[in-house]
Amino acid sequence: MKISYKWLKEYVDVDLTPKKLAEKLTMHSFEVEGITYQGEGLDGVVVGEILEIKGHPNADKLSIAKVDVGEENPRQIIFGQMAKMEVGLKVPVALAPTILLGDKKIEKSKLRGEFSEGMLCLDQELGFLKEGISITFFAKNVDNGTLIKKALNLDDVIFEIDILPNRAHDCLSHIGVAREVAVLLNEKLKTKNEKLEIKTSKASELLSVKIENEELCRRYSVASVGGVEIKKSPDWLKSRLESCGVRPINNIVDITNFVMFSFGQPMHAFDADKLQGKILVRNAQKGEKLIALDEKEYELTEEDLVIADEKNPIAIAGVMGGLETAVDENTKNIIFEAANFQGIYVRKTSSRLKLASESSYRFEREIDEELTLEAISKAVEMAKDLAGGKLQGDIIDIYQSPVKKRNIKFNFDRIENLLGMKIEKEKIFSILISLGFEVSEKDKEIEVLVPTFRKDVQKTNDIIEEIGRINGYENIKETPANIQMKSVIQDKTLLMETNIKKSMEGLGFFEVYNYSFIGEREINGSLLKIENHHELQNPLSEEFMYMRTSLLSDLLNNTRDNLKHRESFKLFELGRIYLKDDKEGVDEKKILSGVMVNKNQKKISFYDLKGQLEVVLEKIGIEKLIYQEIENPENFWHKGRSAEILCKKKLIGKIGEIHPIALNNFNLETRVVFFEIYIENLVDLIANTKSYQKINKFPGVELDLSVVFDENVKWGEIKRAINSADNNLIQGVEPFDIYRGRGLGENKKSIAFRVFYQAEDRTLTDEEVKIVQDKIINELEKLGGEVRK
Amino acid sequence: MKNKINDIKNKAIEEIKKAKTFTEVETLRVKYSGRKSELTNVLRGLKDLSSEEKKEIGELSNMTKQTIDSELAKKELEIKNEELNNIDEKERIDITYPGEKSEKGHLHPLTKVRYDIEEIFKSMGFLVVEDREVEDEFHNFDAMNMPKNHPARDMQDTFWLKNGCVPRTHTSSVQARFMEKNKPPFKIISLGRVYRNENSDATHESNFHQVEGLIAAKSGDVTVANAKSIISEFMKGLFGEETKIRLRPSYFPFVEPGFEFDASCPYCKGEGCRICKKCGWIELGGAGMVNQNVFEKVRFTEDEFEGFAFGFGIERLAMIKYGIDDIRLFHAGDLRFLEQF
Repeated sequence: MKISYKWLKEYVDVDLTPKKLAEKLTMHSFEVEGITYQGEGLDGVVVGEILEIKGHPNADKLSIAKVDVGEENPRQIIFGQMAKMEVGLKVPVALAPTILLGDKKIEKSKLRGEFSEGMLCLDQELGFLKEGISITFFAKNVDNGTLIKKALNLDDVIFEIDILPNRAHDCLSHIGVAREVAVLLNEKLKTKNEKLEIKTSKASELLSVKIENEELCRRYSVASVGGVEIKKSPDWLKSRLESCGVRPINNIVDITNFVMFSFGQPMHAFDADKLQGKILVRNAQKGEKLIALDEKEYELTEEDLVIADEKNPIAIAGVMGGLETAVDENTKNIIFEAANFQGIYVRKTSSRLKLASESSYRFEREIDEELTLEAISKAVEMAKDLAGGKLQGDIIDIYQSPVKKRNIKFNFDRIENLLGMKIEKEKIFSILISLGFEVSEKDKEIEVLVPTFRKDVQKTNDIIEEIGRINGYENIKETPANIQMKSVIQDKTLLMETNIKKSMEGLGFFEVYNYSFIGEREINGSLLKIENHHELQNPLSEEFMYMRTSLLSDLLNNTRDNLKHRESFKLFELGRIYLKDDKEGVDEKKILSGVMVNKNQKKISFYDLKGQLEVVLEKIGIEKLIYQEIENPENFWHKGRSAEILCKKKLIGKIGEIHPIALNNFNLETRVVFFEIYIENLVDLIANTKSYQKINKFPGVELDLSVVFDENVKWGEIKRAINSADNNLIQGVEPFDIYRGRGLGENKKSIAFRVFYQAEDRTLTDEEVKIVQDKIINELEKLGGEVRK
Repeated sequence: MKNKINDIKNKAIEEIKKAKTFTEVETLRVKYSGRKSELTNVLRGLKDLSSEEKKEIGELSNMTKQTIDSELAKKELEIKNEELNNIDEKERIDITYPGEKSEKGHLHPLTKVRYDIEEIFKSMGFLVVEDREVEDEFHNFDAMNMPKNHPARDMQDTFWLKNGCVPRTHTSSVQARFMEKNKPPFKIISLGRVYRNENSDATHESNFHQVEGLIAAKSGDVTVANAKSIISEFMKGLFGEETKIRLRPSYFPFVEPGFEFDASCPYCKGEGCRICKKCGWIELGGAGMVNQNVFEKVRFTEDEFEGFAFGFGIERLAMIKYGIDDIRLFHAGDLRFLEQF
């Protein structure tokens, strides 16, 4: 909310620089996010009168003006086509050399061969907070050369204050903020109508009001003002509104806005002569329509609340008035309305109609029911001063169940128990009283009566917060907590994840983070099914429509992007995927995925990635992996070069090349090897303890064999056959060469491998090794193997 | 004969001394110590001598051979050492030529900062927990004292899934899940991804990461003074011992009182610079004493416990720590960025 320093000072004496005041508010009340000094950067901007205009000889889109800026000679200034200029107009002129807001330097210069000694300025170039493109013109009687900040009265300071929902009840107004400032500075609030006596009735001859839904409309006050003259507001009022970022319209509308920004009470003015009969506050009928002040038609439902006359709705309660009954230049008699509507209702209607206003913003956040009369009588008073209007009859005020002040009682100890600091009773009392609370004490208890405007204060801790913040959090000393606790055992899965990531890093992988959202193009590109993905109701864009079910598409995008400046790399991500469970719910899984790519490598890097992945898994104690063809593989796998990874019969992941069709979809010409590991499935498999194995001192024997097999015999089968030959002496089998080609015949391969034999209790003899090797050969022959001599 | 032997010895010693190479030594070995050496030749005449003389000459020739062998060995070592002494020069390399690097991997900067944060809190006895990212409305909002139609819900731009679930807007939902299963006292932190329906720019992202912390114990055991201490210890751990913190009043529905906390700028030490926008402080996160309404939602007796909760963005910490000026880099997967960490 924008708060004007000048306006604020009407309600409270402030003897601080704006910066100091902002600091005080920020440390004790709410955050001042910005301070704007009006007139900043305008020291070299004056009123100038355009004396003549001619085209620029060398540029079609530029013109040259002679401008009287109050100096001896007029200045020559070149300008463009952003705003229409005419001889005789008085406009803001930046006199070169000067510096405008945002360090924009204006200097004497030559533009296509013609001199320019300044700039004709748009509002936006002067830092006026206005939308679009506009220019300020000055009246004939303003002297040329007058500083525009003087001509426009730009000597205010505007605070941008972030009022959060807890203080929106009482501080979305200048008086609200002034009340807070008064507490901080130990000053008195200077509101005039402090002991206002207003005569009210339930009805009058002129006006009669009926509230049909008291739950949604807690109070409704109206005043009839006759004989108003609609005209422009005086400058002081216009500048007040402009400082809050609101466009002045006419005196009556401006009064309603002024009152809102003063008190925080939204108001509305109807043209009394356009109303038919009495005023009703009722639920809308289904399908009922209203054209609001924004000139758009809204269709209402029974859940909406309207203000209506006997025929038609005339306003959407708390949100916006109707166009038909609006005040216009011919209006003579008006009705001011100040009401109190329930927040939830206003919020629902405003969000359903996508129609928000300063009024709905305040009602949604709930405001004090006690505000209406003060606000309406201020409006009546202003209408008399600024429009010559007279109050007709009494103010009508319907207020069935007046709010009661909340009463909160608690033990004094609670204050120290929560803040961790002892505060003197006297200090506590003075803080609460200055904030408008009524305080009494009884034994060890404090009893607090909360003013109606502090709707946020509901419980003990709310009161203690008031004491804490006004006293200052900087006065609370840092004290280590002393809580008796059992020892903390960290989560096994998280520790495992850390170990995995560190191993991946050690092996040369780059860790990436990708978004959880993906688009249809990514899903289709990675040959997955759209219907398996959770869709967002309100995505930011098409690329962010769905929750990912695989990390593949992100990693392929990363791969393609990085291949522009790298030839080979390895990436991994440990993230979540979001699957559908049987009830359309979200089944979140953690997944470790990685890719390996090398533009220059001709050999399949499947085995490189497989080997490195095994190192990572072995580091966390997951060994003895089985690889088998994927059952129902997703379409993105290269079916001849992919595998499921099992450990103790549990599926822990998949590894393989990505199908070139999918790669094409991501504009990748290089083969990519990919893996995914299901983190949750690892948890039960990780080895928690390791036990020492005695180091074998007896020498072992290594013997190599070279055996020819049919192409379709897999190493896994060969290894199993070798191991089945003997349970004790074979300690290891490793292949070291595969040969295909000349001398072997079609579809044959020769695999060379090394077997390591060792006994635990003796040095092996050649004979013993020979016996086992013969058994191995025997087993391999069963697989069709033929030993090469 | 004796003289002959001594002559051979002297001649051998002299020649060995002069030898410069292994080849020369080898030639001398053949000449003086081998089977066809001069000494062997002399000893051929031994058969003509008396047994006494035989013994005497035999001893002498043995000693002579030993002496020659030992001289040869000495010379050999001498030549070898000389060669090794010269090796430094002979084998000199260009030490500025690049080394053969093995592949270097990189953890993501957010992971690194996450580990830093975890280390500090673990050392203070906190348990690290995790929970769902896609939440139900209750745990993300209602349990956090943000009922439907409450304006506080406007403070977070929310994504919704078609099935009504919410990609969580804050890690605070973990608090509710943890407290449904555990009673105070406890100290936890939870780190993870959160979602806000905001267009991205240099300082905003729709996917980012938060740390959430919660301490709860019986009323009186957790205070604002303790809260200041925990935040302060953490900030010192992250930005250095001289770091100061301050609390400012603020509002989050799930705490009361609520604060925002700032740390003194680690770049200018509070003097004011570009990073802290000249104010000397850097806004880091939100905190507060747990709102009793939150405890009620997980069925704790009102006013039996007090808690302190805090939260902040991991990206923001990483940006300050490493001087990163665009939050979008974290999710761009660009190796030229990632290899810097």
